[in-house]
Amino acid sequence: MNEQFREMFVEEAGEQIAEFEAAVLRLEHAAGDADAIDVLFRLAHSLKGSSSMMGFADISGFAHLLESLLERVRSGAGAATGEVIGTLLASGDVLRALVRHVEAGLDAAPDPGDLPSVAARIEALLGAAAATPQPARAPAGPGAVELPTRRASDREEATVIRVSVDKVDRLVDLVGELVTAQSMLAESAGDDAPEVLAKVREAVARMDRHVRELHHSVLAVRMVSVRTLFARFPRFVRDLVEGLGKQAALELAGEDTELDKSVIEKIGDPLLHLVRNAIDHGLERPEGRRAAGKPEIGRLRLEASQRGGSVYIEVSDDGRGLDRERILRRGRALGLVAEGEEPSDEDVFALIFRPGFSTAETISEISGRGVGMDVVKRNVEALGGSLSTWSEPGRGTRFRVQLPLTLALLEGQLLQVGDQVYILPIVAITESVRPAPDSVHALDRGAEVIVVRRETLPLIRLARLFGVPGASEDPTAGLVVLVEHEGRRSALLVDGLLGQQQVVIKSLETHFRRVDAIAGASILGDGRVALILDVAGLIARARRPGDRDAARDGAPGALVSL
Amino acid sequence: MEQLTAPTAAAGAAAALPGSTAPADASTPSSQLLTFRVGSEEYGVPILAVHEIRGQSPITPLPNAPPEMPGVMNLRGTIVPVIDLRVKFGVPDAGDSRFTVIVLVSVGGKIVGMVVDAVDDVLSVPAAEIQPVPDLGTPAHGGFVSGLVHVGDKLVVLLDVARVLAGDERFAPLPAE
Repeated sequence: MNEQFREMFVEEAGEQIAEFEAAVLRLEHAAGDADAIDVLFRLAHSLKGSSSMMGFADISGFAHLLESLLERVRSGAGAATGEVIGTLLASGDVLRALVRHVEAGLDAAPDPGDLPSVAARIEALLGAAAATPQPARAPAGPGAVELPTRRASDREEATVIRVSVDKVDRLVDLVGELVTAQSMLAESAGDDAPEVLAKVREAVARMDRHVRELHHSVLAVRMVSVRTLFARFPRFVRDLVEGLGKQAALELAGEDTELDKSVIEKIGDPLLHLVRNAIDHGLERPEGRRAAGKPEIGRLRLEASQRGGSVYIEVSDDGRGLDRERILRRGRALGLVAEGEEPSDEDVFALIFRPGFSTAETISEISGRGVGMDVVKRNVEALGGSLSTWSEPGRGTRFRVQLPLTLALLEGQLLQVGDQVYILPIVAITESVRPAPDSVHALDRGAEVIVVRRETLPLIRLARLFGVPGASEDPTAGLVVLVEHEGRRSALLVDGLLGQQQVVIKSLETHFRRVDAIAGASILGDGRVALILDVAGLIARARRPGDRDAARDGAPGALVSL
Repeated sequence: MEQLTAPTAAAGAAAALPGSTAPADASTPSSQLLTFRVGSEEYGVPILAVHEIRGQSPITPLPNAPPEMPGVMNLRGTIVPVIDLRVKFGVPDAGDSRFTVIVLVSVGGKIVGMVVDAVDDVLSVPAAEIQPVPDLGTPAHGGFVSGLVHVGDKLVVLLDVARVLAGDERFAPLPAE
C-alpha cells in the first residue's frame, strides 16, 4: 500500500475524530442539535468509506456500527441521551486508538483495547432485535488487503499537508505566467533589434513580479487553519472540568486564522498547558463563583487572530485572576525581586514564567499559575513568538501568545556592523537615530546607556558584542536602532542602515546549533550568508550586564560551540 | 566563486571523485580515502564521509566563535558551519592559495566544511595496512587521529571526522542557562 496514502489517511482521520468529538459535545449541550447530528453522521460515514478503501477493516467495521447508532438518533428513533453521548465519546477514543495503530504501521493485530466493550455498548443501544451486529473484522478472503510491515525509520519522513485546491490552482496559474514571461525573454534574446531592450525589461519586470507572487503562494501552501488545532480543546476541557468538579463553557473564535504548519504542530502542547492552568488555577468552583456573584459556569475563551505578520492566540478565563501580592512575595523569597523594588504588574506576572518559580506547595494555593509555565514560555519563544499576560483580581486572566505567521519569511532591515551585514526584524524596530554627542554614558562593569529624548536605554554595541572588526568606536559616527521586545527597549549601535528586504529564514541548527542572540541566517542577493539578530536574546543580554561583553570573561567561545 | 583547481575536482558523490590510484585486491577488505594537505602533513578521511568539495566560498563569521571556526557558508541554500583545519592543527602562517578548498563532510547527518590547503587524491587502502596510532603519551591531535597509513614514501594521517569536530573543549556545549 502506498505509504503516502496511509499518511494522508492518518492525518485526515485524526482531524475527523477531533471534529467528531467537538460535535458530540455540541450535541451534549443541545440534545436536539440536528446540525451536530448531521456532522457526526457525515464524519462516521466518511471514515467508514476511507478506512474500508484502505483495507482497515477494524475501523470501517466500527464506523459502520457508529453510523447505525447515529442513524437512529438522526431519524428520531432514539434520543441523544447521556448514555449515547458517553458512548459516542468512548467511540472517539476507540477510533483514535485504531488510527494510532495504523499510524504506527504495525503488522500485528491491534490490541482490541476498549473496542469490544464500546461496540457492545453501541449494540445494546441499538437494541438486540434491531441490530445485526456487524463483524468488527472483515473476513480475510483473497481480496483482503494486508497491512505492510513498516520500519520505524520510515516514520521520520516529512509530515503531510493537505492543501486546498484553490491554493494549488493559484500556483499553477503563476507558473503559467512565469512560463509565458520566460518565453517572451527567450524570444527577445534571439533578436538584436534596438527596441528589444524595452521588451526584455518588460519581461524581466513581469518575471520579477510573478516570482515574488509565486514565492508567497508556495509559502501559503504551508499555511493551515487553526481549526484542527482548536478542535482538540472541547473534549480536553470537558474531561478536565469534570475531573475537577468545576463547570466551564469553552468559546472558540477565529478558527479560520492560518498559521504555518510547523507552528501549528508545535504550539498545541503549550496551548493545552495554558488552558489546563486556566481551568486548574483560574476558574473557581461553582460555589466560589456564586459567592463572587459570577455565573456558576466559568467562561473559557480561545481566540486566534492575525494582525500584520503575527498571529495572536489568546487563552482567557473569567476566574479569580492572578494574585499579584502572593506572586511578588514568592518572587522576593526566591530573590528574583530585590527588596524595596516595586515592579510593574507586567514584571510581576512575568515571574510565573521563570523556571522553578512554582515549585512545591506554592502552586496549588497561589492563584498564580505556574506548573511548567517556564516550559510554555520557552516553547513559544523557540517558535520566535512571545507571551504576555493580563490579569485583574476577580475578573480573570488572559494569556496572549504572539506567533510569527510563518517561520519561513521575515521583513528585515539590513544593518552594517563593521565589515559584516546583519538582519534585524523590522517588527522589532521602533526608530533609528544618530546619537547626540555626550549622550552615551558608561556605567559600572562596562555597561553603557544612551539617552534618547530624555529616555535612558541600555546601549548594545553590536560590533563589540559580536567581536566584529572594522566598526567605528565613536557612537556619534554611527546610528542607534531602538528595538523593543515585550515592552523592553534597548538601543543597538550600528555603523549604518543598508535597506529593507524580505528575507527567507534559514536555520543554523540544521547543520550546526543555536547561537545565542542569533535567530537564524539568510542568504543575501550576492550569495553570502547574513545572520538574523534575535532581539529578545539581545535585550536579555543587555539586561544582564555581567555577561554583556563575552570577550571580557575570557571565554571567546561563549556564544558558539558545536 | 572560484572554480575548483585542485588536482581532485568533484562535487557530490564519492563515485565522481577520479584518480583512484591503487585498485584494491578484490579479496582483501579495503577502504577508500580522500587525502588532503594541511600545512606539511597529509591527512585522509573515509570517502563515504565526504559530501562534496567546494572551492573557496564566502564565509560569514559567527559572533565570538573560536579562531578555528571562521563561520558559516551557504551550501545551495542551507547554512553549514566551516572549520579551518589549518588553524585547528596549528599550521603557522596559514594562508589561502589557489588550491585552498573546503571539504564538506557529513557527520551524523550534519554537514560541516573543513578548510584544507589542497585536496590530493583518492586512495584505496587495504584495511590491514592501516596502523594504529603509536602511544605518544599525550593523545595525538586531541585524539582525533584514527590511524596511519604509509603510501609510497608518504605518511597519511587518518582523521576521525566526528572527533575533529567534537573533540575540542571550546566546542563543548554551552552550560544551560
